[in-house]
Amino acid sequence: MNEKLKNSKKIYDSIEIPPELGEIVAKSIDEQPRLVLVAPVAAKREKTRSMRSKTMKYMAVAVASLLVCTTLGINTLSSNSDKISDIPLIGYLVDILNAGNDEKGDSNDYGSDDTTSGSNDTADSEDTSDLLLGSTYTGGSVEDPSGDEQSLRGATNAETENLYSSATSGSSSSYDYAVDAESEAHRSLMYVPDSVVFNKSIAANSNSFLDKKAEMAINAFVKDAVTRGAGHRHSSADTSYVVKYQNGSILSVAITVWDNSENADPHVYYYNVYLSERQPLTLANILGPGYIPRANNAIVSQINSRLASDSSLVYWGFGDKDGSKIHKGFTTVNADTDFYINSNGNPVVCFKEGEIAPAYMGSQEFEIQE
Amino acid sequence: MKELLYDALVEHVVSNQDNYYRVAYSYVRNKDAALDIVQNSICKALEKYDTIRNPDALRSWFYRIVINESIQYIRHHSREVYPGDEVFIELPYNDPDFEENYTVYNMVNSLPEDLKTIIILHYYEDLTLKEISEITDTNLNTVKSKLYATLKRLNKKMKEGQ
Repeated sequence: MNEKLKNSKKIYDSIEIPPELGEIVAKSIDEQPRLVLVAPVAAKREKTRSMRSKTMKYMAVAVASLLVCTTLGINTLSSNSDKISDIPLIGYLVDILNAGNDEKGDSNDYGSDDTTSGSNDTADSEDTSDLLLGSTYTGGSVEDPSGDEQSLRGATNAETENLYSSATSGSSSSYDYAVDAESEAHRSLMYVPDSVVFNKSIAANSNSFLDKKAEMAINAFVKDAVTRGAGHRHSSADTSYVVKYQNGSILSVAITVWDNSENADPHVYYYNVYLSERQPLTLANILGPGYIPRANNAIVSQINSRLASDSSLVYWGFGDKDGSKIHKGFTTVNADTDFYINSNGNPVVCFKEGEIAPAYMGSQEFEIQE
Repeated sequence: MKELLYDALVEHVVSNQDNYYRVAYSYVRNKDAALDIVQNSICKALEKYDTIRNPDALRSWFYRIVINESIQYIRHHSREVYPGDEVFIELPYNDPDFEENYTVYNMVNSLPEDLKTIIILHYYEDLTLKEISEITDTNLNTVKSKLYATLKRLNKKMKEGQ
């Protein structure tokens, strides 16, 4: 039918155009006086403009409230904290991620808990969270505050990026709504609880550090919105976390941040915490002294066996594939290398997409057997 | 800006007058009526061109005026019986497919107005379905479903006729 209709266009095109058409058209154009519509047009413009900015405001409020809802997901959980602390795993995620919420129920208030409750035998549900945390809060000092800050880094980056990118989805004319709402939501999410993982003074330091980060992100956003105008890019952000491993004293979490304003690839931040010591957990802690050569050997042998089993794989610096000589590829692990702990309790070293192999191979993971 | 728009409109109308005449003619099937419609459409357009916000939409905007004028004309003159000049001059008789094309064309002409509009604009005036949805002020999906329903209907008619 399609073809037949297209063919019948010939008939349509053969509709005779009367010779007087041109004349009539020209006459109609000439007879119509040109319009001088300065004032009404200006008024009309004014109206559309004010309507537009109103719409913008509504949109900004909508965007902000949506984001608050999303980011406060965990806070909502914590309003049911009595129940949630009964669930061991979520119990401490609530505490780790939803810090800054001072209205915790007693069962959640690790900080004020008796320092004597070091025993792990109280298995009733109310004390589950204590049990999980190892209950060895001593209020003692932590020798290496920079270490703490480092383990926090993951969370900080994740959250500030989230803040920045979500804030940018507001509009320039009303960014203040978005930013206010956003910063509130995010700050409460970002705060590190005094009571859980970290020593109080370090938590305070970390929080002021996070505050500064948030401040910087807000300022950057405001500047961006003012200079470049609204809508210069579409942004959205989403985060999720996976608990990779947890037992009484060790927690390993991977936080994934999708931030489409910069990159299509999600950023994954890993952090590993030794809860009972209130210390970040490093590869050195798990593998012991001399961990670097051991981890390196394990990774190299795994790369070689993967290459041997599948010839389509490429690891830069290994084999003689294209690009192997240009890119540096894997050299060594170090204190900053990302890792998580898998269900066997073994550390799994992670390399980002494109770090040691072409990006199409995705992120690369190597389990290091202890 | 306004001057530019005025000039663009005038130029557009002058250079596409044949197309608009054919569209109008397809509705009213009468030369004088079609000429009237084109004339009225130009007057309306020149009165209202300051309402165009997007100069790129000039084409669909003007089609819209012509179609609305045509339909209005039919409504006002529905009781009048005017001599339809159905005879085409310089018909391509040498075309072997002429007969079939002619049948299809007449079937399109006997369609209800809204369906006819879609077929004419899409197949004869080469407008996209999106433009048609703007011109007729209907949802794009409605245009699509109407188009497919019409194609089915024409197909069925063709088979019956054979």
